[in-house]
Amino acid sequence: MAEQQEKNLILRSITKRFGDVEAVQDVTLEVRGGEFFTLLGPSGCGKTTLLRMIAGLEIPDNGQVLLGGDDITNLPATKRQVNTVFQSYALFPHLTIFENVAFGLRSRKVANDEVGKRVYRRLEMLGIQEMAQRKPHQLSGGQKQRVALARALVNEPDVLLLDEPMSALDAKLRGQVQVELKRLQRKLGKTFILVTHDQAEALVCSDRVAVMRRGKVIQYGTPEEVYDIPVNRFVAEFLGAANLLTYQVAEGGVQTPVGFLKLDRDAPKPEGTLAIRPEWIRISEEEPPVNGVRATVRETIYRGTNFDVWFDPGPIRVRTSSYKHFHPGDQAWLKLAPEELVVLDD
Amino acid sequence: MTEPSPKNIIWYGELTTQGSLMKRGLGFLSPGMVWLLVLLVLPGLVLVAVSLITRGSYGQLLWNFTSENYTRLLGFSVFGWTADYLRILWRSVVVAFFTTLLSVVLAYPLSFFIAARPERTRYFWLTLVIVPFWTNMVIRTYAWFLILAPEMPLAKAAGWLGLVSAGSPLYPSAFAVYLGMISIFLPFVTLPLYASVERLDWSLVEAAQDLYASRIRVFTQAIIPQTMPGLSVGIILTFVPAMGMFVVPDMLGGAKYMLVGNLIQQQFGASRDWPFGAAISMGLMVLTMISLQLYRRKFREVELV
Repeated sequence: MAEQQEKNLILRSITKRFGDVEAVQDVTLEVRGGEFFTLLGPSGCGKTTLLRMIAGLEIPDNGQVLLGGDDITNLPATKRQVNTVFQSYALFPHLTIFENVAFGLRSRKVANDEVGKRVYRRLEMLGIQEMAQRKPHQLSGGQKQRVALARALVNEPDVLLLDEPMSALDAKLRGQVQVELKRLQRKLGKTFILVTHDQAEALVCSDRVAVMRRGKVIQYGTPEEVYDIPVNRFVAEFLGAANLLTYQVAEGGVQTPVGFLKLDRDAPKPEGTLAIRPEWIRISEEEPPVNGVRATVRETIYRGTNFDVWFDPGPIRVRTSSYKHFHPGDQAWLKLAPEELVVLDD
Repeated sequence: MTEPSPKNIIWYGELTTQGSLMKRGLGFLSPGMVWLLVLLVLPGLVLVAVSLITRGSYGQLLWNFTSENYTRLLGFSVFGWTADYLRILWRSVVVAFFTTLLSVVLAYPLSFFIAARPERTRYFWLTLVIVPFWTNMVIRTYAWFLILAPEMPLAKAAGWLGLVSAGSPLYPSAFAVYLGMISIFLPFVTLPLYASVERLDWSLVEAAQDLYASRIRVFTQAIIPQTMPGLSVGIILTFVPAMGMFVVPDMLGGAKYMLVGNLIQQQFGASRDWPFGAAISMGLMVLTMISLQLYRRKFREVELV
């Protein structure tokens, strides 16, 4: 029900140049009110610049930013009902946690007891109310991140921006915080926009993901869509792992370095690239009815939850459960099912 | 196999003991300590002693202990009470305070300007700030004579506006004293402040803006606390010497604008009244300490850890 009141954010043909470099090129996106949206891409892809233009910390050279239908393109950060969790948290080192969280309310001259009430409500929600009188340097990375979250959320922003908020946390904590962040967003029903280069983070947190590269949005959709049907090599390899096979169209299917394969649709171009995820390949003793490849184990890598087994020809990488052991030289049939093969654009 | 002695420690890759480290440390420390002891503490004690004795009729020191020099500083004499000396002391505090304040006000934009220059030209601007250090202070102060002379545009403009009578120079005056003082102390504030500004974490400024802070609030909450280390150094390097400055007020203020530095110089020089000069010096030192203490108390809150 809260979601209906949340405002949509529309980016229309946004371009931003720094000198000769086009950091963001003609990006158009619609972020629905109340959704968890992620800008995913390698460093330097323009995702942070795009976020900063939503925050009002940069003004685009072209294009418009619309929030709930209002043009906020040229509105400075101080006037936008948008708040940011900064990468390094940017907590004020000379202020207590309480005053850090209260900062935005104090800027807006909210009455004292109202400030106290709202700050404590956020601190409690994030489980850091005992930290209220401490200074930022006395907190751990995870606690600082919560403070940064509380400091942004206490202002009831229309959109919450998160600029790589988990990059300073260790891997285990990061996994935990991703889930917490997702739950928090569901509970509040607010629009969150996350910037990250971590594909796992993007998949865990988001309702929708936009994959960016060199200032452009390459693909966007739900995490499942983007993961299952990557449009090109870049997306296929950036999100998770993928086996890429070049192909030439042949009678009834395609010819690839690992042999003849059938597809569940016609290939759009006479030659191109196929992708298949390592975990979608089945291994069997007998030859499968379609798309069977006789393969030899080249190398196995133990990853705890599974094995990554590299087969020749290819090499084709296959993710297998960790109770089944393979050894270099072992032979097996691989099934590259037609419905699991994705035809890429490039 | 020998048990390692518990006293052995590894210090930067060297096996040593706590005791020998301590000895070595004292060895390095003592020349500096002796220097301070001989050239700071002993003269200081002499000054205290001298401030408590009397002056003979020809200026010689007579070892009769008295507190008369201090009561005289407070304005009491055989002719009754006068605020003259206290006024000079107070004026010195005020001049030092405003010199520091104005220097800080000027140094902030200057530091940001220099820090914002591209690396190639930054050192050119920094050099411009440092150049005055290469010139003798007396010469620099004399230069103001020229600039403030009646024939120069500044004095003419002031005469035309009726601020001074036409054809007269702009010195000696309080204005000239401030001009001279600030030109001397501006580099002392700018250099340490620049060092802080250059390392400024701009994400705090952006965070403040993101949290709707006004320009003033951005400055007081995101910039001042971060530049506090450099600012403190600049303030102390300016305020303390400004309190005792005598060259500038002597040349640009004359008798019209006497500061405590001139008063002390006068006692040790022309008046040959060392005990009173020593008492004034003690008064100056106490005032300086009190001011620094007040400053520390006021700004302890914003000091970074």
